[in-house]
Amino acid sequence: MLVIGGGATGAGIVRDLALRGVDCALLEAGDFCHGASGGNHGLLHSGGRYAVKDPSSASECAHENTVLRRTAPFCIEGTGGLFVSLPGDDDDFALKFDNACQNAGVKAQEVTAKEALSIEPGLNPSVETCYEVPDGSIDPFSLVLSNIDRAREDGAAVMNHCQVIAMRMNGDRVDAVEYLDGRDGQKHQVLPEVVVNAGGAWASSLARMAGVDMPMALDQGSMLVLDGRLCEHVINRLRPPSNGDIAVPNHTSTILGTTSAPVPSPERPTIPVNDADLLLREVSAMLPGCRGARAIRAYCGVRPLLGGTGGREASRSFSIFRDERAENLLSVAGGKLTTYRLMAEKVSDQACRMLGKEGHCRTHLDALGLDVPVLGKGIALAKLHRKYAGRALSIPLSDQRMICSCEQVLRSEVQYALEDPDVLTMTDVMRRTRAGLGYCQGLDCSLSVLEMFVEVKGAEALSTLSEFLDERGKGTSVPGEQVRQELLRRHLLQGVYGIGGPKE
Amino acid sequence: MRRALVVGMGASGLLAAALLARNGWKVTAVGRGTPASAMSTGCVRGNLSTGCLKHVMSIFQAAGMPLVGGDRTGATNIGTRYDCSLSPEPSTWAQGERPKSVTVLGLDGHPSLRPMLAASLLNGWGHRAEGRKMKMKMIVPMESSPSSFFRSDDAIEHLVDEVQQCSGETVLLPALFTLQDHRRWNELERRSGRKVMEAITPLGEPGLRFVQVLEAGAVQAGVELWGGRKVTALKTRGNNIEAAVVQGGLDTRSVETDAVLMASGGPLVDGTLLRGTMEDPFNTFRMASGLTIGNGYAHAHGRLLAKDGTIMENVFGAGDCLSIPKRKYGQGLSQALNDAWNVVRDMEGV
Amino acid sequence: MNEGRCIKCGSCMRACPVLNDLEGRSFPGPRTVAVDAPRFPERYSIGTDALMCTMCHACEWACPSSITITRSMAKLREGLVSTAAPLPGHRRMKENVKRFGRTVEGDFEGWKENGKKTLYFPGCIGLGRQPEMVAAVSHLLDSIGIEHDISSKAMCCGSPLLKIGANEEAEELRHRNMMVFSAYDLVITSCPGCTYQLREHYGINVRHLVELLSDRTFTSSAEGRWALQVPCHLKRGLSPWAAEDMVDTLVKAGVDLVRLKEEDSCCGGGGGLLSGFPETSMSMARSKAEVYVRAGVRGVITACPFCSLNLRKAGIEVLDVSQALSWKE
Repeated sequence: MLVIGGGATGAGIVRDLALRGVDCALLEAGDFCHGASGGNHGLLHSGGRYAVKDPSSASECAHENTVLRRTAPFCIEGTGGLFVSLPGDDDDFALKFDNACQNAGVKAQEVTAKEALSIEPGLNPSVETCYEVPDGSIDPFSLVLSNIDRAREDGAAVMNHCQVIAMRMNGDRVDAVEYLDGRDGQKHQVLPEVVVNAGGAWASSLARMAGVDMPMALDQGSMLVLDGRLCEHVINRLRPPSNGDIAVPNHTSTILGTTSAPVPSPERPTIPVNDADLLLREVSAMLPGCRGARAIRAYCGVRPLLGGTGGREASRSFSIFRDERAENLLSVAGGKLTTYRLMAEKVSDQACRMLGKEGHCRTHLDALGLDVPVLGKGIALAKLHRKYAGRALSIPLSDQRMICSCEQVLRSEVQYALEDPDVLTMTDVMRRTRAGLGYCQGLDCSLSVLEMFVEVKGAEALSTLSEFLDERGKGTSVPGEQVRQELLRRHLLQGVYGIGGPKE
Repeated sequence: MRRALVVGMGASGLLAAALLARNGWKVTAVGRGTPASAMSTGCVRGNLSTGCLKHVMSIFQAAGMPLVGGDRTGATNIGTRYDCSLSPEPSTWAQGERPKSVTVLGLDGHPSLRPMLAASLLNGWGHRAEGRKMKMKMIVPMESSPSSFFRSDDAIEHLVDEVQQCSGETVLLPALFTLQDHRRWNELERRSGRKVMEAITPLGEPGLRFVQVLEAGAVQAGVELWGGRKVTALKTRGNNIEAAVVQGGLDTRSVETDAVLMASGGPLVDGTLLRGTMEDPFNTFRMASGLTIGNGYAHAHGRLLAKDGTIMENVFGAGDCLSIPKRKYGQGLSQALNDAWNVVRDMEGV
Repeated sequence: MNEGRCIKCGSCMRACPVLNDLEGRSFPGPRTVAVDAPRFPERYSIGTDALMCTMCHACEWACPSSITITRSMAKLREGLVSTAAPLPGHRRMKENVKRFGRTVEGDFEGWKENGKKTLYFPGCIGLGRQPEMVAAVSHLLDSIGIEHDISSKAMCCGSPLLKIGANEEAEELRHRNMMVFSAYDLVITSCPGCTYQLREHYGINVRHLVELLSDRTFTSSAEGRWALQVPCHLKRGLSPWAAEDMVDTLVKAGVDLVRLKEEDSCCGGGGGLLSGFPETSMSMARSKAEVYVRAGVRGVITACPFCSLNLRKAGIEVLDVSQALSWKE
């Protein structure tokens, strides 16, 4: 069985299939989490955000929230969440919210404003109606990678940087899938019995390779990253879903979200100029401290919603799609990061039936990562578990020099990443180690990582660095204090080293 | 005797302060934090005016760290090519002096010079280079300046040893020496019998040395240097500044003056503030609007403008804090030095 | 707190004397401890390494973004100590304060309790370790007409306790000291750490000795060439002008002074390093000693008992300002 797409959905499916003993492989065009899984605000949903408008999604989230906390605690910060209303917000909505949560099985506990302020002192003192919910902050990359690890342990072949370019049909069956391997630039073929299209925002174009029309509505959401943890809980606005209604504490930053706007293509569009200001304005109403905080990055993700008009009204629930023109192609779209395991379970069930296999899902029971003891003194060591789960034990800790000070990443971690055949680019290293994600956006560490790249992989220096700088460059034009950082970056990279910037 | 207050102790402020003092002014220069020039490579890329060039070269000559002029090229601490018009002797070569074979000898994992990366890049622009990591008896923390670790005679012995083991004709080293120890360079070359070069390095010793030389020049000219202090307020009377409030530690003092030179730098060093747009921290002067690198204090013939647009009688500007039509990254030093040279002329009219 | 302004220029790290010390290997550095760590939920995993800072303010002075790094360091250490047991040396210090009100033992006998309007407050190190300095200061004050008490009831100023996060104990000391200080118009100190503490945290009228000397002329019996140890807490904590006054006074008094670039770098004695990490403290003192030896001076003149203590341990002859000067009639 071939799974196309290495985001949460694809990774979850290949993990589930491998656990059932199915002979399977996964191909991902870029690095894992290339799509929406790498461009969301890292929320482990309690379901509260969907209770009113999309109760079936809400129930799914509520259930999966518990499952993930049990099976993947290493990548979750159990921050808890709050829904808060401000003066002027629709009072009716609070009542609807309460009822809807109860009906959907979402644990929402009303608390007084005073109680909310005591557990979250940074809240606007004028908050009115408040609910406590079991929201959490999740590290999507760590989650996805642990699924991939487990799948490989159970015999699956998983490859990133391998883009599917064509499908050969034999009547109404996909006979062969052709892909381009980024490592050697060569074309290769897979001859699968069943193809699972978990391509997310690219699912539609993948389906088209098999002559199948799959209606999708692509929806862009922007996020703004603020330096520092401005809240300890996930903070949601208690009003109908709207722009700028959430703040998620994640590692050393706070992610403000989000927006919703239709886009024509899955390639990451540029972030609309006003989105950063909009997010700051709206979230500051709940968390006034945001106004004085330093925005370090803006980014976006494209939600692969099902057909129709998209936007906030479209269901976030998932759907499995199969067309008679390609009877061994199973496509999946929609869903949330929080419900990935459930999507994977349903898809795997159906795929197995197509193969005539029995197989029962165990992913709600089996742990995704080992518990790892704290490996020593220092922030870097304390963070290893959250980033690497059980693999933290395989990282040789001989070189404990720091390579990235913003995120406290050890040289050993980068060495470990560079020895991984999945890692081809500096952003691949960044995703795994978090080096370059902090407030200096790689100023301090990029040249050190580049040096290690050249030494360990014999890579060509300038193109390797350019890939990273281009990627970081996409989101560094944020207003405020960050301009000073950008000035230093440009003085150094463009002014001294002559790298990047407009060609004269 | 006319009193001048120079706000900022970077390249612009220090050079101008020294020139003013030489011209008979009683000068106090106030500054805090590491100025942008101390974070620079200490090499000048744009062109200096003739008078300015001559004067700068004489200051550096007197400090025992002569600068060489002309079209010169060096290798940065990551191995990229760096062309400039003025540089410390060991850092660059002239057209005909191109190094034939280079060993890049750096400290393992230290940003002062990245041997494997630099060698790889040097090979890319036409040099025969190989990288080599220095074996050290003690670990130099990667955030430290290596200069503390290369002071003793023992350390120099070890360095000579390491250099001698390099196969290249030219050995490229990190910026290891402070201004005081800079003559060790000659010792290294003499004893190793090799051409020894210093990598062009930002955020390190070269920038620090550059500023220290200018500081010494200012002190010698009789400038009173008030380091670690910042001007927190300016006392105006009409379009004149009469005095400045200066704060240092827990102490605050006032200093009267006949003229002020704002050489406080740009947003990088808090010379101007960022609050949506660039602002004047003293809330006294007009800023060119917007938030691009070229913006700063609006000025006319060297004099700053008040917020209402009238020309300040006794307030001048130089360097990064001034608004200029087009500013290029990496060319701040020449701008700063030329400005200092020119503004002193303007100030004579006060 | 303004740590959010950091632009990763590294100036603070290059300026840090602990990080640049040949033995200071495990100190994560001012940026990691005071600027980056506060962002992390795991910040206290740094452990006692954060206590290796001497609070010399060199990082603060170097920072182009005006970040109050030393203040942030103190805040982090405060939280650290409340979650972990202090180092043996620090524990001893706290016990001493509890037992007899000062950080070090010593039988001082020069008390003067005569109801004067000025109090000379020598501080724990002066009273416990340097009675000859205390006598010299007292004598100098007398000679310039400043009559003063030296009170046996005044206790530790609390600064060393604050630096290891023992806030409650420091507040208790402040409370008890204020009952003594309130009887005086002026408090004179000979330790810059005490001066900073009393000025910043007690808000009383306090002067370090060197702040009283610039209006007067002195002579010096200090023969030979001397260099300076300009105390960190004097120059960078209290007032750079006070440090300049100290130098001016010595020059005017005819001391043969050699000016060195390193004269204001930390001796390694401050911030609890002396009691907490004695090896690092001594390594830093030795590095300074090497500089002075290379300069060929007879010794150094300073205005801080911690500097005196630490440099003497490293084999350097040290004079306090009070011992180098006598008043010229």
